[in-house]
Amino acid sequence: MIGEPNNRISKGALTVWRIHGIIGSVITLIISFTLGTLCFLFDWPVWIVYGLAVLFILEVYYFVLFRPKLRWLRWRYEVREQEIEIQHGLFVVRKTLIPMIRVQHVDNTQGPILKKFGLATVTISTAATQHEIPALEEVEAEELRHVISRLARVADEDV
Amino acid sequence: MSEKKRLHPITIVTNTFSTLKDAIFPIILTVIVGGGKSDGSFFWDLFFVLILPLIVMVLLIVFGVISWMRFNYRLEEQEIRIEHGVFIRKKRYIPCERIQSISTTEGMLQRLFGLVKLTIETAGGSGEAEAVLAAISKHEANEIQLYIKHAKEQISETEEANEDVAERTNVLEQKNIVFRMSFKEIFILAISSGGALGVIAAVFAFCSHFDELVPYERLYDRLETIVANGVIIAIFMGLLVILFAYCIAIIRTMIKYAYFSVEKTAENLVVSHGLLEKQNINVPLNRIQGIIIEESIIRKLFGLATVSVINAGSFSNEGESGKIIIFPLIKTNKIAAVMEACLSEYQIEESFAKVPARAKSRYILRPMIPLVIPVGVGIYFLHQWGLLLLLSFPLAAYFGYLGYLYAGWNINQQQLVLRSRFINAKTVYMFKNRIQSLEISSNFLQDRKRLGSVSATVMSGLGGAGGETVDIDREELFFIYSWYSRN
Repeated sequence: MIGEPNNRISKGALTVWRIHGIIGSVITLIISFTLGTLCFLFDWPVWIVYGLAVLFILEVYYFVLFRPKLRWLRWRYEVREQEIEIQHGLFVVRKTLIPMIRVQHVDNTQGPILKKFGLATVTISTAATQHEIPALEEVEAEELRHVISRLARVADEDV
Repeated sequence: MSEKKRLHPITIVTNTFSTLKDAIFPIILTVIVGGGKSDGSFFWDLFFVLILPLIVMVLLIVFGVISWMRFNYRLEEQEIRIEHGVFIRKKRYIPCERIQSISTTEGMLQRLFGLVKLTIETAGGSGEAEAVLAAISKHEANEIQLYIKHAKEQISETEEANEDVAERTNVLEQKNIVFRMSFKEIFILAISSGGALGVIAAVFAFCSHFDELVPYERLYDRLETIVANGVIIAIFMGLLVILFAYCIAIIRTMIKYAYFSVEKTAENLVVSHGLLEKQNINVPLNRIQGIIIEESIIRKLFGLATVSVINAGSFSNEGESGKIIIFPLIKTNKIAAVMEACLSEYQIEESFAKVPARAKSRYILRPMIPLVIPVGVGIYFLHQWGLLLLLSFPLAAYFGYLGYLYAGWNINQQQLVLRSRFINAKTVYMFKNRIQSLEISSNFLQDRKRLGSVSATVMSGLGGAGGETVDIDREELFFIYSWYSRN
């Protein structure tokens, strides 16, 4: 049996993902209202309205409550001397190992919502793959980027 | 060797023709439209039909000549420096040590003049080659390859810079051919290739284009009276078309893979093939990231396989970028011997750790699930005939079962082998120090059976390439994971 990676991502991720969920839900709500109004105007069958309502409730539950929580619980990472380990996934739990010597570069990115909450995403690129650690505290992300690029430079081996 | 050089003047012809090819339709269109619109006076007719196309031609040729004159390349300070561009001058310097692979092709026109086209690839992947020297003499191409090779050596081991001509010729003589295909084998390759399907699709697409040109409806009316109830003839004709397409595909594959041979030099694997267009691909041995053995369902029946190497550059001789076929068709039991001669660091395995028996049901069910909805819809709309679609379930189950039998993994010191199969089988060999990242995953259904999947990615032209095995025993999965871990 192998253990889980040590670190969790920021709690702020939960809030950010929930906001994403809410934005999506609001869009659904607007569309539903439009369709609902059309239903009344043109005497379309009523079940369309009920269907839309159920859909909306399901969306809110899944994208605002269920998914962010589970996703946050699953997200773990660890940066060691020689490698980076990442674990994530909702229904399929994935664990990835990236050796330091394979790391080509590290990027920090920050969308408007992440910025508002003082969070940033770290992207680790190898010659073939890209891996993302979402929503870390800004300071932490900055530090992580430095640590990884320092360790990656130390570990030197032919590709 | 630092003087500026131009390509062979024949490039003017090829360049002009290739631009002409793109411009031909607009030209014809202007001729037709313009000619139709003219008021009938002799001058305008002449202008549109003769003078305008002539002017365009002359412009194209002038453009071709200028772009040929502006294109020059030189070898300087361990770099290939190319300058080109008519309106905007572009310079491109490629450091030799960054070059991943060099390949040469001989098109028909180039052959006539004893020339080759040299393509240079670096790792940076925009898909296109970094530099193409469209027509240079074979001697010149050789010089460039030697220069690059030499530059690479000088950079990697500066102290050994004194080796010279003697060493060069020595390297040249150290070739040995490790793989070759007989006419019969190429024929078998052609008849068992999937390319046939592509041609059939192309023929159908071609035919559908004729819809607008041929008055089918009128033809059909007449046909109806002639054939009356001759569905058989229609089917026969269809078969004939397919057969014809298949023949074309066979011939095309045979032309492409004629004279197939793989040569091993001190540092490269040289793959060359082609009847009309001869292609030479240089794969530096230290750039090979892994090997892939593919057994398509038809070929597997006869114990045949296709072997490719995963190359760090984006060049490819067929299909996926970065994948270069080295043995298009080989008896599965002979791979080990041939590999020993050219890529001896890879250990071709005979036995694999299989997936556990409790994974069997998962393997059998997995291909059936995506069929449920299409078959359901089929039955709903086609009624009794739709029931025939149910036959696809046992077929899918059978393919799933084959996948279960084939799937497996193997670790031999630094070498990881992952194999999987759905209809076509794929086995990937990778070394630990070439694997860019390794991932294990499991969903909750797999969790219940203590199973999980593993996939490993190595570098190839665009993005990655790699292998995977699904539904491995949990303990074995962790073993692979910790084998890769440096912790």
